[in-house]
Amino acid sequence: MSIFHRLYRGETKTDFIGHRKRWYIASAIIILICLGSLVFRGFNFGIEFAGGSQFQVPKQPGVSLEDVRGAVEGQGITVVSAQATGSGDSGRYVVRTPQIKDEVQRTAAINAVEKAAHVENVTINEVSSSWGKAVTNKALLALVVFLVVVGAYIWIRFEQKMAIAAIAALGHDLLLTAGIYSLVGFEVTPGTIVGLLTILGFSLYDTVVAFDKVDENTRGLLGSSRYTYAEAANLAVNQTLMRSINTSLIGLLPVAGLLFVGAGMLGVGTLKDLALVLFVGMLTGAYSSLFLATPWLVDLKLMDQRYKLHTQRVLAKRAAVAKSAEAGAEDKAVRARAGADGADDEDAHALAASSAPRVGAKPTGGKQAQQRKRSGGGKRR
Amino acid sequence: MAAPSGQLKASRYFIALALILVALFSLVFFTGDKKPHPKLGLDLQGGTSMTLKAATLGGQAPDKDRLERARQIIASRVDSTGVSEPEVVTEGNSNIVVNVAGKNDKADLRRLVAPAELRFRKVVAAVPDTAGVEPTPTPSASASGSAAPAPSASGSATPAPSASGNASAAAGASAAPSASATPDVSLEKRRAAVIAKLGPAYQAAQAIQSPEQVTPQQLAALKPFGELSADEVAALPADIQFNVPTITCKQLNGRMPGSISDPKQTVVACGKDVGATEKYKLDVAKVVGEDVKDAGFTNQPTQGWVVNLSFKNQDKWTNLSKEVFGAGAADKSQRQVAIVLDNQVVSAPSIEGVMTGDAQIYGQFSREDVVTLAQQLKYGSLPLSFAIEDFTTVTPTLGTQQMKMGLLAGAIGVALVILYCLFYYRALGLVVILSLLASGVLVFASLVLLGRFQGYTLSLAGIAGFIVAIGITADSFVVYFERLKDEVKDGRTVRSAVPRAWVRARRTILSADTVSFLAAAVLYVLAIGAVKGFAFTLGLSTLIDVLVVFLFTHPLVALLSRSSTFTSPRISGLGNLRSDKAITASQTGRLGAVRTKES
Repeated sequence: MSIFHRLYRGETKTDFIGHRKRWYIASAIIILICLGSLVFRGFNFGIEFAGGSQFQVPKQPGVSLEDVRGAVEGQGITVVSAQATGSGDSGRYVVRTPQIKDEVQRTAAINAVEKAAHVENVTINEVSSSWGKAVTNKALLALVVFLVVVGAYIWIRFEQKMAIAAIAALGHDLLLTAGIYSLVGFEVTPGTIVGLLTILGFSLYDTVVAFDKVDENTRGLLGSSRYTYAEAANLAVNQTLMRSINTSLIGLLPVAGLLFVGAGMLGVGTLKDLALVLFVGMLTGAYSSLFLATPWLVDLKLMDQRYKLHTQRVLAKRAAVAKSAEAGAEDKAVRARAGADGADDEDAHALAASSAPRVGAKPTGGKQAQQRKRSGGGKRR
Repeated sequence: MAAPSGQLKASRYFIALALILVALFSLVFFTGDKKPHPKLGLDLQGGTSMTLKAATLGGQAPDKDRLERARQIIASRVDSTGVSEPEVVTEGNSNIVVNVAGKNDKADLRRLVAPAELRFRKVVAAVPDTAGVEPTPTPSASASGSAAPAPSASGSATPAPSASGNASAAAGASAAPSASATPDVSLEKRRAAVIAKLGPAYQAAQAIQSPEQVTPQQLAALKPFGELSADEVAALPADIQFNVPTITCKQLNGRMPGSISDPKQTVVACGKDVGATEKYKLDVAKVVGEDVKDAGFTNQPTQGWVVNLSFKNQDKWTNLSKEVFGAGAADKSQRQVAIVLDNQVVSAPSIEGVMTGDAQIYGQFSREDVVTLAQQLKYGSLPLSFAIEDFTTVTPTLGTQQMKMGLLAGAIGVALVILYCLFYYRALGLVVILSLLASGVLVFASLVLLGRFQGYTLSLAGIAGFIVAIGITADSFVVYFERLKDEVKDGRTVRSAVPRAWVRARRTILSADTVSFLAAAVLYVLAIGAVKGFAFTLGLSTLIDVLVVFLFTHPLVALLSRSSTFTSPRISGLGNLRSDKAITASQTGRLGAVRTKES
């Protein structure tokens, strides 16, 4: 059975929770690198933060980037950067300068650029150095309010520990995305900040869907000794895996279109800024909701004495059953089959019998039924 | 357990959706301009956008009323520049955003925020503006050339003094202040440059003593003055500005900021009225805006609407009125005081006597006139000072290009999502396409209507919001369909799985959409700039998504689940999930379906 088919049927058995230490170490290393980069490299801020002017002219035949640059410099203005962006019809030259305070000088520069680039009109963007800061401050405020509101929502809708795990996963996404921006040196503009805030919604979306399933799987868990919280949570992640992949993919596809047009064809501007940060952020969000959010939730839960004891009880029982099962090898198959529709204890036998315990949420989940289903499904593909 | 979705029920949903669509589109086609076009932002159609931030002590948000008043003043200044459909709105609690569509003069907008100042100046001489007309200097009533201030202490100090209003009372503030005053050093330089540029014409101008004495030959020589830019005119000495008839009021009104705000200089300025505009030569300013204590207006039985004016420094005003009134010349135009705001004379009343108390300005004023004039006198200009935070000009070419690119990005995004859904969900992919289409139609109608009634403009960031929202909308279908798969996998027929899956998926869809909507709402309320447009479309799409899933996607799936073609495994992509037992059950009739439905 192909991996895709297993995914499609929601029957993957990846041990997300059991190997959680692995993900933690990997994430910790990545986060450390990101933090280091944030501290030592910082960000490549756009003109919205430093303040400055940006002249944009369409490419015309016979006009080189140097011509446009020279026109600006000819007015005694320092050029911070000059670049050719975009392709085909949307090719453009972009020249950036510090803020030009003198109006006469500015007008002269605009006229010179128009002349050099053979165009009638120049696209200008001028910002004071406080603009980017104003946007960022507002964005940070929005971030805090958002975290509080959404945290409260999850708390009410699910429970406190889920809220903590979800918000922690969000923090991870933000840090990782910021780190990638710092490491790669992508330009940070107000558009980037906006995009970053939007990711929050997306990242939470996956987490909420997974937690919804965890919630469903662990209802009444403490009352039975069928499986541990960790196993039930792992099952939930596997069951929602395809959904998570689907939602992430479907979220990413339009953003990919945006990125293609924004970065590939336009080169600079809002579209590119938004698309890039969304793309990076949605990838990190997909990663964290699968590999971090639920494992964190499990760790938080196991700090609770009741769940800890419950886990010990389940494992002890399973060990005992395995021992007795070893004793009577003949007995095994019979019991396992019986376990298909049986009560808790029989089910535990079945679990113990298959060396990798498969926790089935469905009452019809016996090994044979599973086999049948697989062959049936295989034929139909 | 939901009731079995009968035929009737599904059609009820469709009818509801159809009614909404009909209502929206009849609003689109029968109200406003009746054209199905959303209002485009400046970055999509080209134009200039400027964000102004009120500068306050300690950085607190300014008083709401003052911000609104500043907005009105800026709006009237923008209007007076003659651009079409300007948009001046407050944003957040300390920003004002000025949007002007299309191509316009590069520096104009920047000048709107100058902290223009109020000055009271004695009118030394006046001459009609010769704008447009081939200048045959019409010798107007009387304009004394000598500017000698003769403080003749004439007696008649009227106890209840009043100033009769000149007809040129103002409406709205004037046009041309700019953000930064140019230092004097550069003024000298610029003056030299302009003189060099004018060449012999400047010598010709220097020879003129008064604008009335210009001969036709001189006029021909003075022609180059008419081609000077406003900034170049401002660099010329006041005498030249006044004496050369080819310098028009249009040029004078377009001058640099603060070019006539220095109280110690004699200046030239024009009246506010279009058509019958006077060009005034004005003395130094002996009373300034800060000397004004209060200004109000009343309606008096004999004089109609009048503006009342009181001063903090009464002495200054008394002295000015004494000087202007002089010997009480019979000709009113010889005893005028010009009230100068920004670069223009908003009113030039003639003085009726020496004023030792409050003053009254009267004339044939309408109520609107006195309200404006009183406000101008009271606040001088903007009640707040502003800094330009962001100034962006987008050429119409680039705007169109960005529009095309945004639409292209959207098309690519939709195409990718559709392809993926068709590949993954097969026939259910068709449901996705139809649902996306339905939400697209709803979004479009909402955009047109919001643009028409709420002034919402679609910006590039807004388009990006919609593209991102494609993902959110499709996500709801994924949640629903995956639930459907789960149910089918558990052995149900597609038909019986639909209502069960719906009940559970509905919960998840609502939670997830709540989170999305919260994100958008928080962003919209708290953010500024392009962020707002993005957040708005994101929130709007989320709401429309809920509408479409409830009124369209679910009923459609319910309807299709009754068709045997659709539920066949090959087509729906669902059948192959079921165990052999379940498939056998459904193949041997509806037994399985009936059983599970009742369970």
